[in-house]
Amino acid sequence: MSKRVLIVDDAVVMRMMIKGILSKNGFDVVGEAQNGVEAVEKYKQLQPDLVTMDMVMPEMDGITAVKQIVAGDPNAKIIMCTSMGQQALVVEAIQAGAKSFITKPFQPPKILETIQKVLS
Amino acid sequence: MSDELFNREEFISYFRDEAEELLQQIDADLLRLEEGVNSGETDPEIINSLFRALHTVKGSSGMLGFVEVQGLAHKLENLCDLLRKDRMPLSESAVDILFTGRDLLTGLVQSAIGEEEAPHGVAEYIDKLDKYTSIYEETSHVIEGRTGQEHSFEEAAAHEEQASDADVAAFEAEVERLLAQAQAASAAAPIEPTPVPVFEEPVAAAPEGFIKELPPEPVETIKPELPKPVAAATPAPVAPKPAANGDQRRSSIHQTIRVDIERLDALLNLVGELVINRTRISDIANTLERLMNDKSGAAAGGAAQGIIAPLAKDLADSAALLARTTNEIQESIMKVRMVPIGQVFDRFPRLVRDVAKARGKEVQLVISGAETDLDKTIVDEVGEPLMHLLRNNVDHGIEAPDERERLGKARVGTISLNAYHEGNQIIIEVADDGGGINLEKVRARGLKQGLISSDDRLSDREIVDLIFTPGFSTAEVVSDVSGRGVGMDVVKRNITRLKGVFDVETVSGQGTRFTIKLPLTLAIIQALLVRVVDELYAIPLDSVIESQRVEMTDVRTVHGNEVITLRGQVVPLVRIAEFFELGGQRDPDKVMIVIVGLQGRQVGLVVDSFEGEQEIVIKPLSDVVGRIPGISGATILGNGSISLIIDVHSLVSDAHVSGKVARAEFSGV
Repeated sequence: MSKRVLIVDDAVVMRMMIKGILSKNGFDVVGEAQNGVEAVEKYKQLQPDLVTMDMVMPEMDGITAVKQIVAGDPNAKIIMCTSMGQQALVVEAIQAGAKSFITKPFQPPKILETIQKVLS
Repeated sequence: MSDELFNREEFISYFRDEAEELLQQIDADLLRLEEGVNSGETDPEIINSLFRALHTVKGSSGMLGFVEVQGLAHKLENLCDLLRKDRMPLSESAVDILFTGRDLLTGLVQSAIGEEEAPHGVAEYIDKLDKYTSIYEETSHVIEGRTGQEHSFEEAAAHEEQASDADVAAFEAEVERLLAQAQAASAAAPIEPTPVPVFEEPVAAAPEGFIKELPPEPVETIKPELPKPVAAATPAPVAPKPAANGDQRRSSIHQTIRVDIERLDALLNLVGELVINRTRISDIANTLERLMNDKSGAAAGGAAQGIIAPLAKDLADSAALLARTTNEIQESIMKVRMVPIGQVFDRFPRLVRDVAKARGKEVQLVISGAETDLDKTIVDEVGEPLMHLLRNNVDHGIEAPDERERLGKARVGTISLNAYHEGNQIIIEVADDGGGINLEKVRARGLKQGLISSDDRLSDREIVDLIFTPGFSTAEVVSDVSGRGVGMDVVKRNITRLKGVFDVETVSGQGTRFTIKLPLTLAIIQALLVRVVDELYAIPLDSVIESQRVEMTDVRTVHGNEVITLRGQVVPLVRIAEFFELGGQRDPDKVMIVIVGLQGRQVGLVVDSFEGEQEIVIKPLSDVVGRIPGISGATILGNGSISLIIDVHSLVSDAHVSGKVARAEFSGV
């Protein structure tokens, strides 16, 4: 059965892009959220196998969302989407419970590789 | 990324919508920021919001390879970052720079998606911006003991558009190393396990900021091992304020979905077909019923009637049901196309600010009714004309502050922009409390340009109407802001094209009010069907005043134009059959006339017979056919036949021009 993914990003272009890459590689994108608040709600509701999480978002940022998701499900598999220059935040996110990170602009093979690693 | 992974066209269209929204938001934020600077009180959340919006523009444009957009967005984001960390004072000049940057960014976005030429002065602006920010960045470098020679990640980030794979790899390696260190540190000295300090404002591209906020300890321990000072940034709490501002806002998440307008149009078209079919089924049911009740023709015999009667009733019932459902579908699909007019209003505060500033005026714009819904197509089209009106109000309506003071008015002029629903229409009013239109000046201008002659006795209204005449020079009286030379005639034409009505009231010394009435939608209208020779024409019902049968003896001819006198008013006639060259014979005894009117001007359309009212779905004529004078579109009727829709506006103005002669003649009668 294909893995179920929740995509979190406030930019619709990013969501489409990630969705395109994942769908074409056998993942099932079950939901999208455009801020941390939505991400937490959708995680509870959809219980996805994997989450891709943007860091800079309105309402609630990605790291806070990671904390809240992990608080409810310590096994949540969350991958952070980061821009260069955000290293401190990446580290913070991972300490908060994110499993790994990918760097924008995305390279499709890299995304897939990271995801495989996190899922295995 | 290779193109097979995604449909680039589609992404670009999403990008455009998103960028448009964000740029609008940036504009609104900047206006609030400016207010804050003036009043000395700013909400830090505004700068955060600006920062996030610019960050998103940067990210999305980067994905699509719009390097220039990405670069500028990044620099602006950087400036906001300095502002929100209080590393740069929030000043009027900073806000001005951001305003200019926002406009150039808009230009770059438009040129990236191929809608406009690339804007001028980007390089110069970036130069200026760099100089401006470097002052503050250097200050911090000194504080942090940096030489500025080191190649560091924030510099890489600053030039993210040129970032190579190697840079990315280095960045990722750096993160890995930091992680390893953090793990080692936590293994050595067990810290409180759960609550990693919550950070409120995410930080992106200028990590120097972290250093300032670092707790001294980790810097001490890590610094020696790292070649680059930035890397000293650890999982440090950034602005460790009380957490979770998101939780309190949980309540109101707006769920929306973006839909291509073309898909909605396709759906609407289908609904149109449904409406047509509904009418047709009702027709059949009615016919059947009439046949059933027609006892005289009972030759078919009672037996047959016994079978058909219940069938007819069934048909009538289901037709009624179909009617109800289609009505509802029609209504909801119309609602889907509705968007709040605020989408257009949002950009006006900025416009008014800019024009007022350029003209040395003080103006406040008061907006109400931004939530009023109307059809997306109309919202898109109404922006231009409103923009010109507002420019005009600021430029010519509102007096200079000193002048206002002398007149005993408040220094700050007020322009109010108001929208509300009235029946099936939306009313938009643009009013100012300025000097009003100077009728004497307009009249003098009209004389000079030969639009009127000195013995024309014009009412005030007719004088005001002159400003809508094409070619009426805008030099002194009406708008020519920024040398665009866009006259009021264009504004009026745009409104008329949307089937709108445009009106102006002006009181000398007190102000001018423009009122625009627009239909809520352009797609489905009520029409009066008329027959001319063998053709069926549809006349939009909202412009029909009355229909009449007139004896030929009451028709007079003035300068070759037929006219009738209706309640003391002279109404020119247009014979549809002759206008469209359909042939046919004139009835020597009488004429059937549909009186149509627009803004007080009336014309009688001569037809052969009236065929009743019907709801019609407007279908535009294809480009192949081109523009036909007197025809605005076509529709398909219940019986499948095609009917052309008469363009009342063009007929009325046509007849009005030739009717002018008639009026002059009749004024002596």
